[in-house]
Amino acid sequence: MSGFCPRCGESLADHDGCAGEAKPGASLDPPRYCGDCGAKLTVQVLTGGYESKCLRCERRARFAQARG
Amino acid sequence: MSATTWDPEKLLVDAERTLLEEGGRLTMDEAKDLQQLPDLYLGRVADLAHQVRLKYCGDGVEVEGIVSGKTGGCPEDCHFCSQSSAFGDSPVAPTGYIPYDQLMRAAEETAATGATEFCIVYAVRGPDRRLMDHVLECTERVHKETDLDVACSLGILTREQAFELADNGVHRYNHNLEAARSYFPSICTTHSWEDRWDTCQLVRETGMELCSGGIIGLGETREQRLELAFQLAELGPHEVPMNFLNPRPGTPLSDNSIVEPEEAIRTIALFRLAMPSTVLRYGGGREITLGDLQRMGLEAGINALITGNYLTTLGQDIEDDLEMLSELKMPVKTVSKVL
Repeated sequence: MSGFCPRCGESLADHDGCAGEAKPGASLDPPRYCGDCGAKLTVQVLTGGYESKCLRCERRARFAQARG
Repeated sequence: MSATTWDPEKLLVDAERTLLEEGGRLTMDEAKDLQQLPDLYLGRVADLAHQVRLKYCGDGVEVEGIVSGKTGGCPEDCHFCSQSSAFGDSPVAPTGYIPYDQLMRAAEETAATGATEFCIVYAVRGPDRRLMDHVLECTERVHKETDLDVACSLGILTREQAFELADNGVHRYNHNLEAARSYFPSICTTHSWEDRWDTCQLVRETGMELCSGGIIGLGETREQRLELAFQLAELGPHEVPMNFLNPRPGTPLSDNSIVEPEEAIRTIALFRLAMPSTVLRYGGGREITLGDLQRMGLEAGINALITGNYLTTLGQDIEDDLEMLSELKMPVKTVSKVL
């Protein structure tokens, strides 16, 4: 598996599940690490979604939560 | 509480008479007695709190949206906060000030929910000139494009800054006490509880509405939860946000337990009994602490909520919040500006 864990930034190749996923409220956490390069993301949480930008590769993503 | 005089029924009847018939207030000792009632009586305490809310505040619910105006990089060491620069393990990367297009997107999303208030929160100790200019520009833009009242949270203020915000249309200022005075030194060492109290007093002087609450589940005792409630009652804010700790990775409180739902409901009810006419707002952590019991909190004293997402975490679906209010027959309060 390629790519990086959005919770801890570790490579998915040798990542056997993230401890953070088991924590209460994990589903309410936006990603914090870039899935492409594993670097930290800056995340701007908005009322109905969030926008992120990788500090290394500068990949941007926008997520709008479904309404209803 | 004396073992020979302990009578749960009498405690409840006395509290009901004091609050609902005489329009009086509970003492801290009386509230402590109610806090110590067994779980068997939790429904009764919650119901009393709901009756008090209806008598003093009505059935309406005020809805607010919030957005982070600057995330992370905060020099303070509030142990619960993922935005402190003191905790190198936090995954939250610092940002600059929110760009105006993002800010307006959040404001418009908030307005679409029927909310009346939009709060812009900066992770700082206190504002400098640049930040003051940013928040005043944000305030002007939100006023121009929406009907929302603007609230902000910029940390510790000087007198001049407080009046400048009020004079430029900021409606409400948030500055939480966070914890009881006796517990605060355990969760923050870079400023004091008194620093927070002083800023809250300044805000009141300016005529802005004061929003000041705290977080339940920081490791405080039950008595300290009541202590906070009564210190807030003494402070007399317009609104008290009640947050429940959502332990954040990389912070000193990352391994704290989530507050038990029954204890959360009990604490909400006691806050209502301590502050009959204050707006009590559901803040962060309600989803993971209460889950489906969030409705019960609204029938135990809560009469406002933050909807949508929070500063660094997501909230439950806005439609779920609005459906919950509809099912409870609690109308969303509309803007009622005095012209």
